[in-house]
Amino acid sequence: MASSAFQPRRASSPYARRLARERGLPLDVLKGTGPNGRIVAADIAAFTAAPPAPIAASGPHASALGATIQLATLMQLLAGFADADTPFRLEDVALRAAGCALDDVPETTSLAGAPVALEQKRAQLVFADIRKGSLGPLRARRVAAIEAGADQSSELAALSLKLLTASDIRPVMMPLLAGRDMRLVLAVGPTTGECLLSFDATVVSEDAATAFLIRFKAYLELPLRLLA
Amino acid sequence: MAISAMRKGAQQTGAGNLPDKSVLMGLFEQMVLLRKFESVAQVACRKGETPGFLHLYIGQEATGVGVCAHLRRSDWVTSTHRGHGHALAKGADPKRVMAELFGKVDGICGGRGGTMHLYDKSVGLFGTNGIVGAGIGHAVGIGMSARQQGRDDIGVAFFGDGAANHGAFHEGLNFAAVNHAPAIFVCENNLYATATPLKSITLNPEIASKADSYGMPGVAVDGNDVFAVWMAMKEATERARSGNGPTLIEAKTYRTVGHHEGDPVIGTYRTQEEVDAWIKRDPIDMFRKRLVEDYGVANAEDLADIESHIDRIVQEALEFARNSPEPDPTTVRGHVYASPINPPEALKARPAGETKVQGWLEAVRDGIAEEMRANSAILYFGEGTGERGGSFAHTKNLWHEFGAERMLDTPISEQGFTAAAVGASATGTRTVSDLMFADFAFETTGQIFLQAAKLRYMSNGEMSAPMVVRAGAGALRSSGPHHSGMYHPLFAHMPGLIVCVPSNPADAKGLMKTALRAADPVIMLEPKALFASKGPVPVDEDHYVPFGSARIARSGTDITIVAAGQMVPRSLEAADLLAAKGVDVEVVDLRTIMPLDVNTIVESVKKTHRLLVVDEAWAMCGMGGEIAQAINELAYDELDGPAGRLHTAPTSHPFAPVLERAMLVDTARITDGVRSVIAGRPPVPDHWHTTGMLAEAVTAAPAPATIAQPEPVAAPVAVASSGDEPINMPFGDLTVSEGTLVKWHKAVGDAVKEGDVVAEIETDKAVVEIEAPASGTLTAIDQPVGAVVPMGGRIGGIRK
Repeated sequence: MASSAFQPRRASSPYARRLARERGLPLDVLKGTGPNGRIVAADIAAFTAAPPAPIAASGPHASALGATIQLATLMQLLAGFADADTPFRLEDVALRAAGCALDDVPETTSLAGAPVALEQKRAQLVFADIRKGSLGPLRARRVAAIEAGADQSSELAALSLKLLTASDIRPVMMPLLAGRDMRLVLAVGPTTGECLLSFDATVVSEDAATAFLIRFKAYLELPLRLLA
Repeated sequence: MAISAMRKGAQQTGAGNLPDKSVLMGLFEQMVLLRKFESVAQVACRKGETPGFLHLYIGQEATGVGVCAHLRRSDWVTSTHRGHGHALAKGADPKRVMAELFGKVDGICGGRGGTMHLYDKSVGLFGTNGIVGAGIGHAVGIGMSARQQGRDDIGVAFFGDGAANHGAFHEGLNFAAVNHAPAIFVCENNLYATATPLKSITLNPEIASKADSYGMPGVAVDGNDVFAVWMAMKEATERARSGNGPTLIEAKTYRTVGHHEGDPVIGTYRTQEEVDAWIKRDPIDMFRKRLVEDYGVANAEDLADIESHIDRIVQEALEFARNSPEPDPTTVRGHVYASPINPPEALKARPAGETKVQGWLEAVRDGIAEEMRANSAILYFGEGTGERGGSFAHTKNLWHEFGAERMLDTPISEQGFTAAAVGASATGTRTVSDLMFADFAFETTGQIFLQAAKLRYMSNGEMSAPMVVRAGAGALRSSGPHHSGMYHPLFAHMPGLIVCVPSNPADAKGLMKTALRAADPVIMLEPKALFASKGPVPVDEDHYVPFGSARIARSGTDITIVAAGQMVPRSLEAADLLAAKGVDVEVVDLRTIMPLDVNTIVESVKKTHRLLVVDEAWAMCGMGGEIAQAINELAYDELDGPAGRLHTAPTSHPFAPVLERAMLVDTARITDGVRSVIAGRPPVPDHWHTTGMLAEAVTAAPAPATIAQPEPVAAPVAVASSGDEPINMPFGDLTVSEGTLVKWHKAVGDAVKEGDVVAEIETDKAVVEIEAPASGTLTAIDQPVGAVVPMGGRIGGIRK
């Protein structure tokens, strides 16, 4: 229980703890009115009696969708490219998949054809019109931008894409970056990837986000389509 | 009236006086049985086969045999710590007695009692007893019980010279004499109370003469002369059976062994010459000679046949004990109380019927009268509870209805009449022992705690003492330090006692009626402060309140008060005051402290989530701690704050009214206590400290430095070495853990005979001779002179 060393212990009666447990209330949201700030049963009753907090009228509403993506075929393909001395990297494939998936979502959204920002360590590289070119030119653009030391964080993009090399890690909450309504994080393992799509629900509808993620997943699992 | 002259057996054995040959031969056979049985037990004890102490009767057999020869199975004997002989002489099965000494399941008490607590209802054995003098009063009650049931059976108490200076002797004999009890008191004067000479602890060592003090005959006989004992007992038995009252018989005898096995035979308190002189007067040898030479009723061969017959019986007993299984450890909790603990009458559900308003005392009197009418075998013992009607008028009119034989006015000897109540209640006559004030119970706590409470358990569930100990209890208007105590936690501490503390006339009557039908001893503590109270009492004579069933005296939702006795009305008053302030109090009235209805308390706390225990007894190790901990264990998640407790302040009861008020829990204190528990800050008591102790600088005394123990020579118990017979350090004295080998009398290669002294060891207590366990050749000396060897450890070996 190392964590308790970092949090002040909340005094609480056994009955209050039982009530909180039954109601799924964490003790730290409760105000204790007993001796020494002890949380007592009356404090649970008072808390549950309060009206639910109203949804904020403005500001981003972070939502998120997750998916597990089978990467075995893609990894085999990338290894084949490497043997053929055509060193496409996962970034290139993921970038193209994201761009194509954006293009695929219904035109009623503002996403079709929108640019994608690739997150680097301290910068972003923005790529527009991904579908129009093929994988080779996309890779060339990426390498050139890196060599130029560009940072295009302030340029318009529908989403930012981040790759994590971390097998068996499932990202569950990643903040949106400034000016990006969506953020796609892919934690890459040897045969699977754990994908998290965060988005501002006031801008991107949940349906559109879902459609995007389904397409993105499909591209990576059947990557030959990205070579066309 | 007293006949305190020493009677010589020879004077009474004129030819015309001789009983049948079969009687004489029976006396011989019984004495041989006692001797041989104990000789075998002695060896088993030395080998460590019998757990615990062993006090042998060797040398005293003539007394037990001469006395018991006159007794029927339906008579009872009470005995002492030196009681194997009494048990066998009264007819207990040698096999099962031996198994009991071994602590085995086939023992007469299933291994629960053991050597000093041998009970056998089937032959009238009311226990050997670990408490000196405790059985004297039992025998009085046993005789009175038989008389009350219309039988001429009698109670006989064996005790030693040590007991003759104990209050139990004085109280028991006096109570017996004044009631013409069909009882006989047999003092086996073996000259020493353990190791204290009789002459050094009394200026009147003629114990028989003490009978004069009580107006009963006293007779001294040669306790080593079985026929003299037989003659004296014959007369005493006839007196007792014919209703002419009790007799004291002093049998002058001697134990030719140590106080207990392992204790030195001579010790610091007697001489070899003295022991030798008594061995020459061995009761069996003397009687053998007389049968052959004086009476001419037997020849040496007849007697040898009897002895070999007894040898076989004793060997069978030993084998039986060895082969009997250990008791099952899972049965350890059995036979503490009757199961079920309530009599059937108390378990019948009855619809609420008609009631009438009655005062407390009147209601309980009615209850006792109803039960005494229904059961003629109820006796009531008390001080001033006869014609006078009791100090509180609590037995008014009962004497007029039931007479002096059943409503006995006792001397002020709580020990004497409570012991009689134990004896009577265990033999078919229920008894009330009325102690007037609960404080006086301490005059007889031994009888309540050590005899009544333990009887069912010690006897493996075969016996019990269904008696009621009745006492006015608790504070009432400056009753002072010796008339105010409320001691229910002390009694409830003792397994085997039922403890009632009623709070209203209906419960007091209903619990008393249940107690008079129960199968276990009941401590009925009636709060004196409530004697003047009135309340509705069911008219139905079938009004029985079960034990272990608390009552919701007031229903509420905010806090549970648990109380008993006069704290119940105080708590109800507080609840009314608090109701006006919007606090809804629930009051649980326990009614019985043991069994404790913990379920009702838990259910109440589940509803209120707060607990305050209000109790009139003191806090230390008391009700508050007990009940609060029960809630910790059973309903922790229900508590919305710490449980609180209010107890009487930790002082004696002061006389001055203003001081007494300062000591007691009252309505105002309960009101404050409720408020503070609801606020989450229960009142913090201070009974853990003496006044001012907190202010004193308490410096912890340093722990004593560990004393380096000399390493005893490793001597594993009874190592088998190539099949030879091990010579072991004797077991026996439980207080000695090791001994030093001081001498070897034999060398390796020497021939030895069984019983030869082969070595000497010295313990903290004595020099003990080690005898050869078998005949053969000494083949090994494992421990040299000077070695420190644990008891039971092997020191050498003999090849047979």
